Amino acid sequence: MMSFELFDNLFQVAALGCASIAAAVSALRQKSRRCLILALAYACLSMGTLYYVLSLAILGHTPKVFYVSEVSWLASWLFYLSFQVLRTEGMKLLFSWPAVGGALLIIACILTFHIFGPSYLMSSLFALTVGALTFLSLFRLQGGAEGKQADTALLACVILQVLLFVVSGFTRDYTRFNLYFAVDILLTLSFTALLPLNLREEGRK
Amino acid sequence: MTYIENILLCLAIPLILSLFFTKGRTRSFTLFLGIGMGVCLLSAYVSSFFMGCYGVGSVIAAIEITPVCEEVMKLLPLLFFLLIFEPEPKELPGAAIAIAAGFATFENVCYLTENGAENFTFLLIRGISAGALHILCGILSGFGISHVFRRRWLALTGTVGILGACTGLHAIYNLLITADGAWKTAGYLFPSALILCLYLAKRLLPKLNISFE
Repeated sequence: MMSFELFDNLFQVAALGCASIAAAVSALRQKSRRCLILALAYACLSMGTLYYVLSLAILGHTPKVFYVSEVSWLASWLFYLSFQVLRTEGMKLLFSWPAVGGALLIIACILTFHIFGPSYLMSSLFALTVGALTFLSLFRLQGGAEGKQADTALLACVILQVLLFVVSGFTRDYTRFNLYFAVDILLTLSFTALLPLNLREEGRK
Repeated sequence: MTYIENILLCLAIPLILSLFFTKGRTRSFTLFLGIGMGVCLLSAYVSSFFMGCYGVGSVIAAIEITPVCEEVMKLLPLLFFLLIFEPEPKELPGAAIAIAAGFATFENVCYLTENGAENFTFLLIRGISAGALHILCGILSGFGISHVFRRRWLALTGTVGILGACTGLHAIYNLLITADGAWKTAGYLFPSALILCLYLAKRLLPKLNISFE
């Protein structure tokens, strides 16, 4: 494995692992279902990256058959969607052009760049999950619901995740810091920012 | 060659016969234990199919294919029970753990048949690690699904998410035990350590008056 790639992956595992523990503790202390879901999302993301790093360390290559890391990452995105579903509970969902347009744009990007591919099944599942998450986030932002910062952070996560795969298509050198790692570190920090933003939102209620 | 169908018959017949003379929770537990054993056999077929499909060896199959197939197969009877019989959410963890226990038992019996029972230390480690891993995934899926099915919109995303979490845990375990040295030791110990943490949480949370009902 290349040097900076290892550092980047270990940073992601450590940051998301700590965020998962913090979210689980917050969930227990505040009896918060949303924090519990965030803890699971962080744990899945962290496990996916850990599996990827361990594969490189133990086998010397990345998984090539069933893409277990992608399954774990997809599970994490499903938990983020669950988190947003919980936040949207009680709101009446209506058709909205900007929300539908944004979701379709994200879905088109994912399918065009085969994000989470090369398996079409994984790409399609990821597109559906992230499309629904984008729709809910944009709908909430448009409707002026409470917790705009958390919605913005979730949208930032979606955009950064898509951007990461687009940038990876043009990156050849993983030994030194470059745009790919900048996006990946920013993505990790955006994920972790969801916990304090959610705690602040719940604190206001 | 191991005739796993014959082993299943030998193990399942006493369980099936006992169903006629038991009722209530004992009967449910025995039934799910038997279902877990059957699921283990079916997941061996599915994993073998994908092994042949992709043309990979047993190590790669154990690391990449088996975790996905086994976790999906273990989840299916639980979902069937939930969607068809509509049990109380509190009944699900018991069912999931019984399926996992049946699965782990059948897997261990097949392992014993193939490799013999001479090495006590290794078999003890296998019981603690592989057995604990299946029980850990059973606990996670049972409690998780009983939790997410209380909210309609959370059911789909939550269920697939829990499946992914179980798959990740299982794959990391399988990956670690194929390595040598410290990795292997970590692989053997982490399922039991996590179960211990969950048990402590189960004992402590009611005392601290914490629940997510």
